[in-house]
Amino acid sequence: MWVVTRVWVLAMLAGCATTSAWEREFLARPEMSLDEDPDEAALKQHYLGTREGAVGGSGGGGGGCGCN
Amino acid sequence: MRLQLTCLEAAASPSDPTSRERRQAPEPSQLTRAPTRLPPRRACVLLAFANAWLAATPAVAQEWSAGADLLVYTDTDAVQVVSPQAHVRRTLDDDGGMISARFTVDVVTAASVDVVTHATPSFRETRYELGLSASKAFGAHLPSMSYRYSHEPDYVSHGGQLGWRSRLGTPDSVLSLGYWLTHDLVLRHGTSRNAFSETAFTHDASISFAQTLSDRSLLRFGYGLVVQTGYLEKPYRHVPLFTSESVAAARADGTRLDRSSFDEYRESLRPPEEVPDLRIRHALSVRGLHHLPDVRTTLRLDYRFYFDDWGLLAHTIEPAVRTRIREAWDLTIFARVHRQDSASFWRRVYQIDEAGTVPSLRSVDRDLSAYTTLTAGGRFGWESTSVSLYVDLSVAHTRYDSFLYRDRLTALIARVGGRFFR
Repeated sequence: MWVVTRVWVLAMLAGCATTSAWEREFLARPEMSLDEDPDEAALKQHYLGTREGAVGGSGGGGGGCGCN
Repeated sequence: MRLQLTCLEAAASPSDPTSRERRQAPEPSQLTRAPTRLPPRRACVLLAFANAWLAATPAVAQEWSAGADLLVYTDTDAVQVVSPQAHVRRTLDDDGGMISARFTVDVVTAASVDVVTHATPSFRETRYELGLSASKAFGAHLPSMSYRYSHEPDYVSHGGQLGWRSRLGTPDSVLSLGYWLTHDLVLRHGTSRNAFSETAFTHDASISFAQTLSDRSLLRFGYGLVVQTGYLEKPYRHVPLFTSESVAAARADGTRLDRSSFDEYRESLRPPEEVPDLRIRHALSVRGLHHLPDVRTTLRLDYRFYFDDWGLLAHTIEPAVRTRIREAWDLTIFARVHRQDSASFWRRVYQIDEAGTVPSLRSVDRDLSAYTTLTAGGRFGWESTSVSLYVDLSVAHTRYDSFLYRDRLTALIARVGGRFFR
């Protein structure tokens, strides 16, 4: 829990700074997208949903190129 | 096109230069002729809506993509699943706006322990799923909606979703909200709808917050709340019952009650599975990404903490390393560890007490038992400006702590797919 709290606080502090467009070279790479390909992810979530008793926690948005 | 423009005089965004140019393009003579060819009013309204949607889109990223995927699953419990899917997508803007459609087929062939313990050799079933999605950016905001329809002979499901995603001041902070409502109709093969028909509702709400930490690090936190009501059992599952005497007899015989021996000691009564009609499920998740430009590698770490009011508690952690072998080729190595404790009413062996009372809650659904699953795999991807392809292979090994029918399960999962962009 202490580690999670630290990570959260760091994230909040980092949120005070803005990443400029010219600093997003690496963030714009496909592998830095927080969301996977939605169709590929749907297939993966479908079989995980049939194998695991836990659900949720996937999906969201943000990151990457700075778009939604 | 002239026809649509006539319909859309009032609907198109006046501030959008693309639509303004289009509206200026027709000659006056063309506009005067158009009303004589107007379609019925309803079609005109639909055209107006569609064109307004597209006309309001910036002209920067209008792109079509089509693709197909195939999932093949096989495990040591004699279950095989083949799932092909096809999808098409049109990007509307650079901020996540798009419309998409997806069609999936599941062909399941099973002679699993769930099936053969009911004296049925095997079954084959086909499920069809259709998914439609649309989203459209309005400045820093991205509303979205989806619809999903799933059909199999004994199960029909409809689901609708509304979502909202907003940049909070800068692109570095993004808040996402989502809500799914799903209605399921559960039937039983070989039984008329009048004799057996049950329903279930699922409310699935989620919130997540993504934050850019630096020019190469990202973090996202999420929370999901799922509330399920109605019929949450499986209509084919029946639970073997034992008495303290039969359990003692098995012990005296030196026999461990398991898949091969339970039938010999169980009572003749075999009631259907019974679980609560309400389930409230919580999931807290975090995803982190960090890019290492010197080695062209991205590190990803996912963690999920799950708990529900049935007493089930789970931890899932999934680290991954994705490296770019060449500009067009990339390789991802990943692992997944899932550990869960059982639901509070889970028993490896359900016993009738001395008064003959059958446990009111009972299940043989192994997803409610305690187990650990270790998954390891790799994904190989290739992409050009117009095509991308991938192959994903993984092996999952599960060890059950207290499942009557099985102690271990190993599964092979293969996925292949391709995307074509235009």
